[in-house]
Parts: sequence; C-alpha cells; structure tokens
Amino acid sequence: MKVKVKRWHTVAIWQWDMEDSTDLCGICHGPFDSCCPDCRIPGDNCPLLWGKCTHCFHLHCINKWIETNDSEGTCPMDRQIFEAAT
Amino acid sequence: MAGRLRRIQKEIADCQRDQASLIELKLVEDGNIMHMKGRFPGPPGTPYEGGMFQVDIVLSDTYPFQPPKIKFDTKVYHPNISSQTGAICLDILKQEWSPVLTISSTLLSVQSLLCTPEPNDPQDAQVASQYLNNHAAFLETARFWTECYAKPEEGDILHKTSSVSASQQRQAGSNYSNHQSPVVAAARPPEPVLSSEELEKRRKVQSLVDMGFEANHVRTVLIRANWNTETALEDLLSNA
Repeated sequence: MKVKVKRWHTVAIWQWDMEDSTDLCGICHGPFDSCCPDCRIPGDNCPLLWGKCTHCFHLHCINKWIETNDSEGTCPMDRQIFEAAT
Repeated sequence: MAGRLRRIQKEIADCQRDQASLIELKLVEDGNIMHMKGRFPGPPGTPYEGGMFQVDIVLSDTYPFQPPKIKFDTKVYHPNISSQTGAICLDILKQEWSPVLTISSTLLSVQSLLCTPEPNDPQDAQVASQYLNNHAAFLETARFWTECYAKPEEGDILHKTSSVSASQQRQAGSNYSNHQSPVVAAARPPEPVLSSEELEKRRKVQSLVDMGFEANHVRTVLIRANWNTETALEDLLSNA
C-alpha cells in the first residue's frame, strides 16, 4: 500500500534539562517548568539558574532575593555565598 | 503580585490539609490573606505542655523576601519572648530569614523555641535572669502562665488529637472538658486536695489581692519573690 502524506502537524513539548523539572522553585513554590510569578510565559525569557552549591531557582526569583540587603548574597537553601554554576 | 498571593494561598491550604500537622492557621478577616493567626500546642516535657499558644502573623508586600512579622497573642513566660508585648527573639525572624522558609516551618521553629530557651540572648531580661538564677521559680511561673493564659479552646487541636500524651490527658480530665469522655466532662471532677504549701501560697496571693492587685499578676510577682510577701509587695508598689 502506498501512502501519500499530504500535510502534517507537529506537536512538541519542552522541559528544562534537569532531574525532575516538575519540582518546585523553593522561592516562589511554582514548578520549574512554569515561570516565576512576574512572568507570563515559561521558557527562555524566564530561565533557571543553578548555583555552584547545586541549588536551583527561577533566575528572576533568586535575583530578587540576592538584591535584598538581608540576603548578603547567600543561597536561600544552605546560606553559602550564591555563585552561578558555569 | 498575583504570583506572591498564589504562594501564600498554597501555604495556607497545605497547612490546613496536613492532618499530621499540629499547627493551625486562620485568616483574621476573609479576603485578607496577609494577616492570620496561628495556634499550636506547647511542646511536651516543657512548662508549656498542655497549653495552646496563639501567634499573630502579618505578611508584608515583600514576603517571602522579608520574614513574616510574628508575635505571641498568648502571654508566655520565656526568656526569648517579651512577657509584656509577646515579641519574639528568634534569628530566623530577623537576619537569618530565608525565602525558602514557610509560615508553617517558621511556626515550627517558634514552637521549638519553647523547648530550647536561649537565656544569653534574651528578649525579656527579667525572665532570662530568673531562668539562670532561680530555675525552679522560672518553671513554676512558666507553668502557671500556661495554665492561666494558654487554656485550649473548644475545637483546638489539643482536644481533637488522639495522640495527646498521658499528662495532657490527665490535665484534660481535670481542668477542662474532654471530648473523648463526655461523661467525665459532664460530672465535674472533685476539687483536688491542696497541699498545705499550696494553701499557704493561696493565702499569700489573697492577702495581696485584697489590697487591690490583680490575682495573676500577684502570683507571678510572688513566685519571683520566692513567696516573700513583703518583697512582692515592694515589687508591686514600685511598678504600680
């Protein structure tokens, strides 16, 4: 039997490349695959940031914390100085 | 804005859903999720055992980047809690706050502060010095305050939980109505027989109450004065 493809419709899903991307951001308690509370659309415009300490947050969430005086630049999970993993 | 509210709503819902949790959260007024009251039992093995303690919780617009403002509504006799205002001296409520902490994890820390006083970093210097120098009197006052000010209310966790410790059960039977045994609650327990020591203490309390001072305050001052009526009277008059 010969099949002729006339047209096609592709569907894709995406998720962040991590162990469990349905896990929650410790700061906003929203899923990593969703965006931070201030964004509307998940994806490259609301990325994640890993620290050298291996803890991960929405970039916008961890930025907001680091910008407060009280944070003293520390990771919310382990209170080490938060440095982005390269 | 909306996202922050979502986290708070979720926190409240999670806490109310958690059957094992002994912490209770309630909004003060419908529609304002930034102001709530938390209630939790005093930890077993402490002078706060058998009491239910209420705290006032106010969230700011910057929560969770700033800690919630928490203070005790219930009067508590503890070195790190102001006996006057209920203000709490606890590092995570100040400089050690982290945005990954939640309202219920913070209340757990407050509850565990009741188990582990830090008299060297006091909020109430008078209580702290008594804790260090006259520990028996500290325990007596703390127990008395629990009995007096932290009485569990109808519907409190202490009433409905089946895992209350033996001593809580005992207290439940003698001091306030017990849901598990309505018959016992209906028939009022006999007045306990008081020791001569307790009678003497009550006589001293009464003698000062007769002078116009408030009974609970009199008892607290008397304990602090090691039951010396004259010292207590001086104390009462100097603070009047």
